[in-house]
Amino acid sequence: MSTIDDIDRRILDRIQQDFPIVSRPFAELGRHIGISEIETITRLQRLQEKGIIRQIGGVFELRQTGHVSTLCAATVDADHLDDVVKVVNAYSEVTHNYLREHTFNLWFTVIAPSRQRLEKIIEHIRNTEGVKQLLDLPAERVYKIRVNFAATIEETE
Amino acid sequence: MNLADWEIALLQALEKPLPLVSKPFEEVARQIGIPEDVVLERIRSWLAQGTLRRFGARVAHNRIGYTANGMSVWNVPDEQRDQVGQVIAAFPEVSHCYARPRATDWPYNVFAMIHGARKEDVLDVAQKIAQKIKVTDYQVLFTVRELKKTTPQIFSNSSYAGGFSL
Repeated sequence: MSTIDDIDRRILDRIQQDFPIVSRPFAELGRHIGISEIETITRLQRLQEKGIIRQIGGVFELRQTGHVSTLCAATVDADHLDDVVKVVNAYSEVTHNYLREHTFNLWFTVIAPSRQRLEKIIEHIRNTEGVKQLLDLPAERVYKIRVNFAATIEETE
Repeated sequence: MNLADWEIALLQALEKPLPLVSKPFEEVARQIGIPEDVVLERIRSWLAQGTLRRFGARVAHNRIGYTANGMSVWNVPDEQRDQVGQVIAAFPEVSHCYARPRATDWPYNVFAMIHGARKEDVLDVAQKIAQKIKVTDYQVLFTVRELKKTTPQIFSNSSYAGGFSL
């Protein structure tokens, strides 16, 4: 595992929540942490290259933009798994897809601009060879969405 | 209110990685052909309205020590569901918590993502939750493989027809 130091951790803790919406945000960030603008940028580039930061950007509230989303659980034959995964992942509307230890072994999230489009995607996947069962489990209530993770715990591995 | 072309262009730009340069919002503004001030003002107002849930970094949590994560699923009596959901959500190890419908062969109606350094830590948290909410029918599904994880590109998507309003 790549090493990140204390300054990296402080940057990571800060930019998940409080990214400054100002003309020179990295100068502002650096000021809080006690490093220069250029060092802040250099460290962020490195964290991004290493894949620790996926990206800096906006997270939209889908309920305000008219999009619909769901979580699907599928039971897929081992023999057809690779082909089904290809079909599922080919949709740009599928944002996450995980293989899990369960009879329902494939779990993926779909975000689409309309219910109609969402259902079309689900129907196509449901009718793909190897898919024995598919559950459509849209969120009925949201109790918590936390997106920031404290970077200050010890790394393992 | 329907969005102007520049607003749609800005929504699309904000889904892409912010350039790591001294004045990143000026760079974004230049690509769209609008002043930097307008970009800054609009991001702030979308944040204030809740159109943007947040603006910041998405961090790969499995790269900063949270190497184990399990999706816990709970069969909670319907009349207690929302109350129990709030209790589960209050655990600091839980990042996401939702109510979802039951289905054929699927009795679980509350979902909570639990994060920890090791698999055993995740199972311990699930056990603590179970004791607290007094629910015995639950499972923790661990990830075998991450097959896809992308940042949603909801405005840049080809299937996005446009014309929505905020």
